[in-house]
Amino acid sequence: MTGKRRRIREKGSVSLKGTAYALTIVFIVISLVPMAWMISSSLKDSKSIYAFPPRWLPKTPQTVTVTLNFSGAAPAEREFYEKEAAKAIWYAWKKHQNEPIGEMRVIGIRDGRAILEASTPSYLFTVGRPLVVPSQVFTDAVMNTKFPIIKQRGFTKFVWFWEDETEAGGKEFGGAEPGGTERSEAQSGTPALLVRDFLRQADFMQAEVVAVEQRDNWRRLFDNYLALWAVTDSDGEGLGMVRYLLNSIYVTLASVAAQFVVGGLAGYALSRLISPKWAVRWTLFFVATIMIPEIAILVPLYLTMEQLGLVNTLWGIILPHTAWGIVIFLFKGFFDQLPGELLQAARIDGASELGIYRKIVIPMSLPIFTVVGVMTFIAVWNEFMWPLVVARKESAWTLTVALNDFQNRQTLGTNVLMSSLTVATVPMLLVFLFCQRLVERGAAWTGVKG
Amino acid sequence: MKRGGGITMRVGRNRRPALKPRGMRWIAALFLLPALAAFLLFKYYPLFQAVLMSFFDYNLMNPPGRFVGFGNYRLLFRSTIFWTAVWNTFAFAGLYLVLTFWIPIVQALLLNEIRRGSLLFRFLYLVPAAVPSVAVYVLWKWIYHPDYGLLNDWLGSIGLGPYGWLSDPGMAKLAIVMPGMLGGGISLLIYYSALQGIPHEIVEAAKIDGAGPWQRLRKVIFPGLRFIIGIQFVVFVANVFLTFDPIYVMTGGGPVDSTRVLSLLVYDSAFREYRFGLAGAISLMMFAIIAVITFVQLKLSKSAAQ
Repeated sequence: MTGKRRRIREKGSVSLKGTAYALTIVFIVISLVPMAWMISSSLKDSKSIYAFPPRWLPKTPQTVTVTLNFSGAAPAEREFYEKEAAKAIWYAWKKHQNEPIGEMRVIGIRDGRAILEASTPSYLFTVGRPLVVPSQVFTDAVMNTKFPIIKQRGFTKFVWFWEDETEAGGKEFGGAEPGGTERSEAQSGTPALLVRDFLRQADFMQAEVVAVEQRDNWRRLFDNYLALWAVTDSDGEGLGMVRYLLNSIYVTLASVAAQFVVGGLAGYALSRLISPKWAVRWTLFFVATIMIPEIAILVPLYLTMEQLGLVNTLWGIILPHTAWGIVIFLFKGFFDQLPGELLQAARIDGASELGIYRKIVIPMSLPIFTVVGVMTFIAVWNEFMWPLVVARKESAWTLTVALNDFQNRQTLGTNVLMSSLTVATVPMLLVFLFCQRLVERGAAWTGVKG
Repeated sequence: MKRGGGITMRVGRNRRPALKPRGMRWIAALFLLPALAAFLLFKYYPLFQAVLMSFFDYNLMNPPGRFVGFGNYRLLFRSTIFWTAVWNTFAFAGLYLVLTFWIPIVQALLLNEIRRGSLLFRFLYLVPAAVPSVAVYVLWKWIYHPDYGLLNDWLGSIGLGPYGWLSDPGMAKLAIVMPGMLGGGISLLIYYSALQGIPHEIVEAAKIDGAGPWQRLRKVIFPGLRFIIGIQFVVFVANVFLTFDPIYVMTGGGPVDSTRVLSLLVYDSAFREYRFGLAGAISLMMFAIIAVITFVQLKLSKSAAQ
């Protein structure tokens, strides 16, 4: 009978374990779906991001290469050739701006030899589009005014193969034969074909469009991320991603450091330096503030910061983090458990309290410091309402405030927006990757203590 | 082991130094000073100010402005938007409670049954929590997109929708709460570590006594979790009453005020309309509501424990 019972239980436990595994995997997969969608969206071009039904796999970006033949044209300044190349790149791309083009290249040939190569990757097109081709007016006059911008900002890279305009030179041209057919021409509606048809019908081109080819270029898959750093508005102001990242990191690390100093010292004093009767009262004074919701004091705290002249500064965001009741509670709780004999011995030896704290207490209390550090990092990195209130100027924005602002900007495509979210995820992911044990210990401690 | 001197013995028992030189008090004061200043300046003074402000038609240029007594409160109780916000706040709290609170508990219970690969699973549960919460809400706005959204596409493929998640007043509350339904993250770890704290022997003993999984859960594991669930519940309720970020990011209170909650009302009346006195009155009302709820919860859990 016992044998039978054991066998039944054995079976049950196996199926229980199987169910636990299966359901856990289901839960994890579901919880990862939004994040996967974020990353997938961040890799898409401006057309497929708005495809419906949505596609999971981004299309491979295409490098479209246009071969221009200058053989018929009279010899001219270099600028003439560069402008022709720029027109082919920028006007054709603007016309078909939602095609999955990852890079536009122009190869200029003269008398059968390559003389010039011009190229623009898609992130620079995204950046330059509002400046160079704000409208669909494709004329020489427009290019004459916009060409200096292209040159000055380096939106298009020009590589010359001859030393001097007058002498015949250049590189052996081994590409498409003039008038020859290309691989891609077989399929209609491809970016290369659209560009070819547009350029051949255009009246602004003086050079002859010989061939247009396209080729997979998966490296341009990540151009939304590059655009994030390079994109600017009409005033030349950048998106400021670097600044917001640095602000967030500064605010987070400074908050952790401030809590170590303020909370650690106070916790030690409460635990070791004052009589138990008073320790209880003071602890209550600090810890009771957990009951005050942030929103209840949001407005007066802002006014306090204004009086202190700290509105729109990073320290305006940081300083209120020094007044977290839970931190003092955690520190005091940990210091209470330290062996008192050791401290007393040091005291008898004549060590100063600060010396004892620095040389004995801190080295013994590294676990609590790491736990407080990691938990504060997570909380402050995610914080939104307080920075939103106190940092009303862009210069003091943290990443969370900036991300909320990005989503309201009409000019920023959803694909670039998604890449900004992905970038914002990376620092915390690194913390989880390298400090998972610490995070878990922190969860265990703060969980029990509220 | 016997140690010398009575002094050390006393210290060992009390974990506190028995000898207290006079200078110690000064050092204690010095150690406490930064925290004292911070808490007074950033907690108690603002709280005092909030109370004061709520009795004034607060003027930024010439503070505190005109004294109006209970005028702000009267104004509040008479306005429909305040009561809408109160209702919405409670509705959100209920929705969060029903739809999200139990999920990490279930996930932790399942994870607790797993031995092999547990570390990896815990890491995978942490990964989505690496996305900053504001980024999560921006992302979900994209998932909810009426034209290109992933969710409507999926639901459409099983014949549902399309739904205007954030534009339909009947759906918006659910849409705000849904990102929280995925669980995982820190709260899962809290429950998991509590589960790991339940002595293995007790569970094994119950197994040997013939308790099935369900019985073990009810009789052994759940009592071990009750304390932590109680604490987490109090924290959770206080937090959901303060929900601000998802609403501010995703709907801003709309459509037709269906997601306008008290915390949003505080923010808007202070930083959009610059009616600081009114904002102070609303935030104190929130403080009172949360204090009452927490008090009731603590009383209830105490009487349940006895």
